[in-house]
Order: sequence, then C-alpha cells, then structure tokens
Amino acid sequence: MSLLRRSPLVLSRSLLDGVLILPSGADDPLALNESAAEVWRRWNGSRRPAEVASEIAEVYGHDADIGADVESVARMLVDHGALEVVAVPPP
Amino acid sequence: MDPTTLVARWGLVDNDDAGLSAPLEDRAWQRLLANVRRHRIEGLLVAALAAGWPCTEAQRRSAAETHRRAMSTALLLERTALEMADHLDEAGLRWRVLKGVASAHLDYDDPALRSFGDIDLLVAGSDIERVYALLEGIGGRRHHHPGAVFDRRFGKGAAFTLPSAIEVDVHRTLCLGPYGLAIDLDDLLSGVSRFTLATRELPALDPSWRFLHACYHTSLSGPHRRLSAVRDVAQLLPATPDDAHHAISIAERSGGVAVVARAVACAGELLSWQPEGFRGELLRWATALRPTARDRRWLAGYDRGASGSRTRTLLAAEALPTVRERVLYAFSVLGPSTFDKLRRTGERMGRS
Repeated sequence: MSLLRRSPLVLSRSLLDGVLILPSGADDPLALNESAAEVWRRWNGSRRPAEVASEIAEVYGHDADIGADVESVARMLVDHGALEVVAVPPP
Repeated sequence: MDPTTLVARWGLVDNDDAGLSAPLEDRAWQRLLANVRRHRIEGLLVAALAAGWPCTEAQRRSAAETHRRAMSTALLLERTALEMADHLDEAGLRWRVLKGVASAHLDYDDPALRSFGDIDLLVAGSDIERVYALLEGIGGRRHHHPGAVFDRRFGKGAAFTLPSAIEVDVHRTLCLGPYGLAIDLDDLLSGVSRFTLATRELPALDPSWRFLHACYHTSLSGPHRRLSAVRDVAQLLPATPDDAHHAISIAERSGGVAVVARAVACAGELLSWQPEGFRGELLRWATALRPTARDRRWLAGYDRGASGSRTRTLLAAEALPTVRERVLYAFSVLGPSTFDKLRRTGERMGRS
C-alpha cells in the first residue's frame, strides 16, 4: 500500500475510548475505537502500513501478525477521507 | 458535594480530594447525566471517569455515548464555522469567533472538555447588515427582526438557523440591554487571539475579553445559567495582578465591573471553589464588592430572565451617552419600521 498521511482537513475530538473524526467530505463524524484511533494517529506521511503495524505490535506487545488488520483500517480511513495518499513508493 | 458540582469543577483544583467514593445508584446517575447534558459539561464527566472516578461499566458506556453525541455536534459546528470564515473573509469583514467554539480550543487543555450548541460570531455594528444578508444568502432564516436602525446601533445581534439546522448567533455586542450598550465596541474588537481548525486560523477575542464575555454570560443570563459558562469564568479567571488589572480596567471603561464581580463570586459559590493565591484574592474582592445603585437597577432587569426584557429595554437608554442617541433608541425600539416611517413622513412634509 502507498505512503499515507492524516488528512489535514479532518476535524477531530478525543473520546473516552477512541477518537471522533469528521473528514472534509463526510456527512457525519466517524467514531474510531482505541485501536483504529491509534492507527490514524500514527500516520505522518512517511510510513507504510507494515511499519505502523510493527510499531503498534511493539507498543502493545502483540505477537500475532496485525499487518492485515492495520491495512484494513487504513483502507477504511482512506475511503472516508481521513487518510490521504501522499506517494506511491517504488516496488 | 452534589455530583453535578463535582463534575463542573473537575480539574480546577490540584489534588482535589472532593470526588465520588463509590459508583452512584442508578437513579442518581440518570439525574447526573441529565444535568451534565443540560449544563453542557459532558467532557468534564468523561475526563473525571478517565481519571478514575468510580462507576459501573454501564455508566461508563452511557457517559461515553453522551460525550460522543456532544462532540459530534461540536465537530459539525466547527465545520460550519470554517465555512462561515470563508464567507466573512471573502467579504473583507472584521469578525471574531465567540464562546464555545473559541473557548474549547483556547481555554481548555483539550477541546473535548468543552461542549457547545451553536456558533457565535462578533462583527462590527457597521457591518452587521452585510453579515445578515450573507447569512440569508446561504439560506439562513432569521428569528427576530427589530429593524435596521436598532440592528446597526443598539441591538445585541440576531440568531439565524441555517438549512442544516445549525444555529448561528451574530453579535454586535456581548449582551442585550444596558450593559450591552455600555460596552466599548472598539475595545472589544481591538485585540485578537487565534486558534487553528483543520488548516485554517480563526480569530477570537483576546484573553481579557474572553474572560469578560464569560462573566457577562454568567451574570446576565438570568436564573437558568449553564454551568459550562460558570466554568468558563473559573477557567479564564486571571492568575496574575497584571492580567486582572487589564481585564478590570476594560470592564471599568464598559461599565461592567459589577458584572465581573458577580460572575466571579457566582463561580466560587456554584463550583464550591476557593482558589489559592492571587485568584483567591480576586474571589474575595468579587464577593466583597457592593454594586452601585445603578448596577443594582440594571442587574435586576437581567435577573428576571425573559420576563425582564421590557425593563432591560427601558434601562438600556440609561447607557446611551447623548440625548440624540436616546431619542433614536426610543424610536428604533417602538417597532421595526416606526423610525423609517417617521423619517419618510418628515421627508414628505419637507417636500410639500
């Protein structure tokens, strides 16, 4: 998957158990649970999903491969306009 | 201490030993949740729970859901504030964001601590009709229309409902009635603080005027004041003699020292708050200040809430500096078009 970053046009609020985001084109805010919020917060434009997955696995001590989960959350966030593609890295 | 008060003062006092010792029973929790919604202090409740206040799992879920709804509203309002900012800047107008939207970002550690239910904008009186036209141009429906002269020179402003059902309150001054007319409007727009929403900077009142506005809102909103506004007073209470002197000298120029003192005393009482250090001195000053006869008369007009609107309208003339202004004010409050009719009659008589 491409390099991604948080869209600077997203409005957000921290919640008790996650984050609420309002991407620029969305009709309604979208509530992210703690893990999805963690994925969203960690994208700064220079990371691939695999790197974010390994950071999260390190912080939370997951042994299992969470790369597929992170990629799926990233796709959902791209679809909602909360993450945007900044570059397509060379293969 | 009452649980609603405990929530409203959460985080004001370091190492506060006041708090819940056990989860509330269901009925008390439902009452607390209803009060939290009414007073718009959802963020303070979830912050308290996150800090370890005892609650059941169901109570935690209901607090989280209540907060999520309040924050959904806040984000939708912020998006509209950004759209309004584009319109106002394109028109080349001088404006400020007031109250909740600005305060959440400028005066609290986390904007999630401050809920709000509408957008409040301040514009210069000379621009107000252009702003009204702009809002009507994007489908806004005005709630009340007292007349152009009143709007431009004496009104507080007007509320509009946009097609999205979002309410935008446009202010020329900070409140209706005598205290609103006594405010030095050049002072009000002279300073600016800025905060960022998405990628855009928005202008707000400077810290002294944000404190004064919280005081006006708390002191003059009648018997049903919201605790979010009271908390704003405590949150913004100047912490140094220089800041306090600056804010109070502005209040003096606008005839509002008694309004400030009343709001600070009210924050101390309603939040059971006795700050230490200089803020404690300020609270003692506020509690000891006796309003003048004029202030007692003016404040009484606000204390009656909606039923005191006629009294406030009459008292407002006292705040106007010249006889000419008072006559103009009297004509403009008689009705939406009375002033214009009188002027046209005068013109016809002049021609004949």
